[in-house]
Amino acid sequence: MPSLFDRHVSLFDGLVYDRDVYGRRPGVDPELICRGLEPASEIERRGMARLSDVDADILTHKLSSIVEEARDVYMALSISEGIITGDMNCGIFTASGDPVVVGTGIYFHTLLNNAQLKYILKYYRDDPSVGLADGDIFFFNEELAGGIHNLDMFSAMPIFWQGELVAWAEVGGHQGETGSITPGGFAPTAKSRYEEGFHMPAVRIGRDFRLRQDILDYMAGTVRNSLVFAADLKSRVATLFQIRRRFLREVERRGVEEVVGGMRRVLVRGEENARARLRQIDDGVFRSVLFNDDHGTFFGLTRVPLVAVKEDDRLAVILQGVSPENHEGPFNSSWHLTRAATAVYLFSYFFRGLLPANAGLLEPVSYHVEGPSMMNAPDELAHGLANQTCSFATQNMYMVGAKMLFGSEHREAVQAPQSRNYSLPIFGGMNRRGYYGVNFGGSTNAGGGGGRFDMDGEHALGFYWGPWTDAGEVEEQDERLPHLILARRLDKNFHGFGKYRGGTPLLEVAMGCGEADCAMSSWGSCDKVSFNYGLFGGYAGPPNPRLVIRDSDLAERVLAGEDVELGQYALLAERPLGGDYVLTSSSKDAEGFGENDLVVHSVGAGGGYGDVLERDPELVLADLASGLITRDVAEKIYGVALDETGTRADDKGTERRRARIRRDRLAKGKTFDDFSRGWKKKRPPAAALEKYGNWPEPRLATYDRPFWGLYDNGAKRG
Amino acid sequence: MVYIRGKALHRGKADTTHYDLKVGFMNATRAAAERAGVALDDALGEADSIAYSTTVGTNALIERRGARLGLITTKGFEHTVHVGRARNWGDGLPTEKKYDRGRAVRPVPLIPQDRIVGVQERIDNLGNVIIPMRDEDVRAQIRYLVDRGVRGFVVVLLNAYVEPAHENRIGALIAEQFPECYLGHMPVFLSHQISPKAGEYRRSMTVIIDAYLRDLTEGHLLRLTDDLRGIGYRRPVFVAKNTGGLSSLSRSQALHLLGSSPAASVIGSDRLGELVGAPNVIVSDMGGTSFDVGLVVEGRDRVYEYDPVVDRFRVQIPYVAHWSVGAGGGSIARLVDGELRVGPDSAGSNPGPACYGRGGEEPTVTDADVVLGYINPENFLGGRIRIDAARAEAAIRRRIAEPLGRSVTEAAWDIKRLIDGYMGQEMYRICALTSGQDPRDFVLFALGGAGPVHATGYADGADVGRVATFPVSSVFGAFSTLTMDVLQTYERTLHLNLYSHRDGSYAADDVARFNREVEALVAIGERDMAEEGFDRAAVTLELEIHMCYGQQRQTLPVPVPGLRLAGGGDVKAICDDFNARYAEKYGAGACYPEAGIEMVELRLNALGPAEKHEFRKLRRDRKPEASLVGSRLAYWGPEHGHVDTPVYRRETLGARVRLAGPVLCEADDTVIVAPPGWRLSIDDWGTGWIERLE
Repeated sequence: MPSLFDRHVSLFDGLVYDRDVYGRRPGVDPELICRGLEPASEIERRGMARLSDVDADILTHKLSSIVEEARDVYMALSISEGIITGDMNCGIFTASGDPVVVGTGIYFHTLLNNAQLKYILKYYRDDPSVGLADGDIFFFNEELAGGIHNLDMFSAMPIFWQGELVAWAEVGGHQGETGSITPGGFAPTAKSRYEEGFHMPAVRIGRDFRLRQDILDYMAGTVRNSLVFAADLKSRVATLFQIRRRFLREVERRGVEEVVGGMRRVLVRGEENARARLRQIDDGVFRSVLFNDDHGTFFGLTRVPLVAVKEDDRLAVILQGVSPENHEGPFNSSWHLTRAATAVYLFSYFFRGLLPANAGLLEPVSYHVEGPSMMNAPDELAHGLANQTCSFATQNMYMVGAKMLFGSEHREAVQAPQSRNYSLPIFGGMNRRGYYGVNFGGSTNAGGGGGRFDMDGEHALGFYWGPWTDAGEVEEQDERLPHLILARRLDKNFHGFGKYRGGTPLLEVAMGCGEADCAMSSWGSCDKVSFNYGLFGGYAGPPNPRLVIRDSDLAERVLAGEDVELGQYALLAERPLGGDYVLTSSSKDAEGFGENDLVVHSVGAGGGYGDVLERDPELVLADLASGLITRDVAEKIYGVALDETGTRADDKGTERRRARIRRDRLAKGKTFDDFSRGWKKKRPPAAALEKYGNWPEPRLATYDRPFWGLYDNGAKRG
Repeated sequence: MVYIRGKALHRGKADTTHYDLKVGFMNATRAAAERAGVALDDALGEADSIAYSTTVGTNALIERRGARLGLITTKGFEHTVHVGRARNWGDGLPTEKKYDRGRAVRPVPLIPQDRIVGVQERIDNLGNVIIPMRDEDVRAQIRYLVDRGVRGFVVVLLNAYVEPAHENRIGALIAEQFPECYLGHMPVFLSHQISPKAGEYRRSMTVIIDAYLRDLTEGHLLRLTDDLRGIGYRRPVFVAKNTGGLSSLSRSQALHLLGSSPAASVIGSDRLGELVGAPNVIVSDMGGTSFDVGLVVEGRDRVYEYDPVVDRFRVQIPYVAHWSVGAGGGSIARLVDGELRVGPDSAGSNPGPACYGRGGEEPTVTDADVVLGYINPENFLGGRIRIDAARAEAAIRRRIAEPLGRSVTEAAWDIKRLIDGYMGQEMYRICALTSGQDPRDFVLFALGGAGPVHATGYADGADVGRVATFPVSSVFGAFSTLTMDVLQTYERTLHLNLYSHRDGSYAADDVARFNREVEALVAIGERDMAEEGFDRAAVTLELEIHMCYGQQRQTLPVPVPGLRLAGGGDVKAICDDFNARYAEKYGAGACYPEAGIEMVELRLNALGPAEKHEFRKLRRDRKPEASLVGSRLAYWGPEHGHVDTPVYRRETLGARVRLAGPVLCEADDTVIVAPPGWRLSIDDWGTGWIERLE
């Protein structure tokens, strides 16, 4: 009997890759991106042998302290909204370029951007026109070389000890503006990478510990906000110096072998711990599929299924049956991004407690991603919304991870996905202090958490990609951004219902800022179809459309003394304001945004956990009292019988109501075969399938492999 | 309790009386008076002043026993105090829990959601009214809250720190409905009066915590004052504040009393550092359950946090920085996935470490200290607690040594090294992170019962080579309150562009506004210090402004020597100073005046000097042999193994004594542990120095 791996996990030549689908290009070597940990060097092996467990543990703690300090410095000194609210990462890497400890910010970058270091080592170190020396400073924002998208900009510095390269320091984050065709960096109409602003693979921008002014001037001149660009680059360099200084002090105190050996040990232990965790979980094949509704600036379905095959101490993640790459928008991911995106789930939940997050944890995990497809797209296409695209895999990973963990001793980590239903406006213009700015606000870091197996999801939990991000305060944003926030709140009926409900995001209602109108672009998806699935019977977090009210009469009404409720539910359910209500794709190119225009946005709500009919009626009453749900939801969804005031539940009435709902459900039930027969006859409208690929299998008709990414060795080509 | 009478210093200890903290205070005061040979009423009758640091507010906050308040805020922002800045769910948690977002749970709120209301209004950051406020809307919200049974109102409106008109109007409407002259008067806390600073979440929490604890704190202090007056005390009672000074009750805020004892320890360390020639000090206090760390830099700058976390909430007060780490004598050692872990959970004092014999089964740091021979089972804490060494050994053997296949001694050594390593690195992180200082330039003050036992271990982790221990170690917090001056601090947000790179100009036009704002603060400071009983000539006023490069969120404080600016030249001097300080902290390459230079905040300190204790020098004619009380086997790591180690009596050692490690020096409240490679010496002031030998 062949093992699960032998039966199900294979590469399918020309279709399913364990690497990026594109080949070498200037500054880019995909082979360097996809390989795992580099082998231990001799000095690392000697160092590991010399370290006791206690010494290694103390050193790990010290290295973690260094990058956490660096994180705080980098966030403190930067200006970009993304970085100061935590969309960033600081790390220490081995001399061969593998990440050992990272200060988040966000986990997303942890497994990215190291290929650039490997590129420098392989191609530039011995090239006399470039070389590698103490005091060098490198810059990169090239997604094809291992990054996310070119809005995330990184700098790195080699760390030498007595003439030998012993480590790398790397610092970077979401700086935003890239000189793309749309202000703010996200260009939802971009059809190729050449419309997305500047891309730089690893380039040395400083030597002898100093930035080169000519290069700085050139780079700052390529973007719309040169002041922000230069300030943030300088803060990155200051942070690199700090990491280097602290690191070398440890080398001085403990000895170079002990420190580099300790770093290698982090990776080795990371892998050992990950394998041990995997062994604690039942073997099996686990599946989830996600549909996306957006292509940049227009609607339409695409599909991303994920299969996880877990056996003994190995896990294979397979994405097959994926919709094709997108030639008319930036919804394209890469193999390496798909890998890094699922790691965000793995680090926070599946491998919960196995700190520090590091590359070793992913050694037992292999990735097989169909290509060319939207999850493993060719190089010439636009990749600006790769961060959204790759999250399709992450949402699937939440689902299969929850199924894997439920029967294990790690059930505490089981929960519905955190929200990825993005609708994010980017405002550009002169702020009230006279500075020109282009950026988004902090509420991007306040998505709702998913319902958990033993409690509700947390409201406004944080940024999707990492555990430690900040939504800032509105009074600070009043100082910095060119719009005005009129409400920032938790909204009604805006979460996934369930035995344990999902968390609600911070929802903002904003207007243009008076005399100096601003421009607004936006990006996101899940306007019609939610990414935030419910788990084990819970409802999904609701879709998250982009709502703009043009030429509203808000000002007249409030000046006339009218009380206006500003929230998504109130505005859409009651339409209390005059004006033009516009519901469009979340991604939209820049347009004027005046003082009578309103935008309603959030980053979405978490899905619920478990059957709504099992929710404690007291919790339903509490939700009702706090304005999280309406009476309709309490009665019709949760089946709670309320008294006239809506403040008390009738226990017997609730039992009767819930019994009736259960009977209705059974009456609507079908056998699996009946369901399948009916389901297969359904087909979305042709317009919705324009970018989907073939129906129902997105791949070419000649592609005869089953939908779920399962195929036998016998079917393997060649 | 520390009682200073003449040049003598007397300690008084008493159990904490949680049911009524003033009972414990009076018991400790009585004990100290008795040690001084004075009756309590005589001691109080002749006392010049009493300085008191209390945990009454801290306890009430933990137990959520504060006032029943209602919050009125800007409509649309009613959830701000609950969801804060999103990441606030992790505030106040240890690092590993901050990363565990799957299990995130926000703290129990001080004001539940049903007692938070919004009034329709909006003012922007320049003070422009975007949405006007209506009286009938406000009145309706007040009625709603009163129907909910609130006993006080907190009012926090957006940008009220710039334009307080709407907050003032709400205050007036509440006063109209609940006049002060009638029963049922409701206190009102307007945010711009308590914390006129930007940041609606932090300002809200600053005001809410202050209002929440006010009645309770005030009641406790007034009852204590009444009791003291009943016994004959006639002078003012001062309270110690986390802002780094003392003040009388009428000039204190409840929020400022939280964490005042560790803050006082930093101030006391500043004073002692001056005495013993240590301008840079890392203050460490290791007790049973927690490890507190603070910093003194260059004998003048206490390190402040400007948005510290209190309980689980971020506030905005100038808080003498101290950090609490979950590590202490009671920290539990256990194996997790086959790896040794120590803390952060603690056995506390009950059941306490296994060696206490109170039912504790899990091995702790104190158990390891017993096994290693550092703690004398016959004389732990002056004999106040009986130690069962066999229990310590059994706990470590069963839970750690046998599963790891190591000896009990090796396991105990690993426990010590791990906890010392963690604490040392926390100190390193705090020292480096908060001040950008090099820990090697610092002296470590080891306080608390377990501090001197572990100090050399965690000094090593922090990269510090000199440790100081003090005879007042176990009552250092109380001693420190007597080293504080009377201090009032005033802050307000003030945005001014000081330097424009575009035309290379310094903001001479804004100087008049700057001076007006400062003069307003100075007037308040002078009034308050007069109320505290100080002549103007005796009061020192210190002004600093918080500056940044254009649009940065992080600021650096820069002193303004003359309290006012004369023109563009003064502005340039301040900008130059800022550039220099920035370069010193982050490197010259990080400076970026091209972005412009801004100031965002004013801060004025008004200081009134308080009388200080004068230390006496020790006698130098005592031979160390006279203090030698014996020896015992102690373990000093694999390199040295077990060594028969001399044991001295701390209290009788004279000045200028030098003892090479390994040596143990027992006192009533601790043991000073000097390992091989370290030396213990006593200076003229009785300070026990443990220094690493090169």
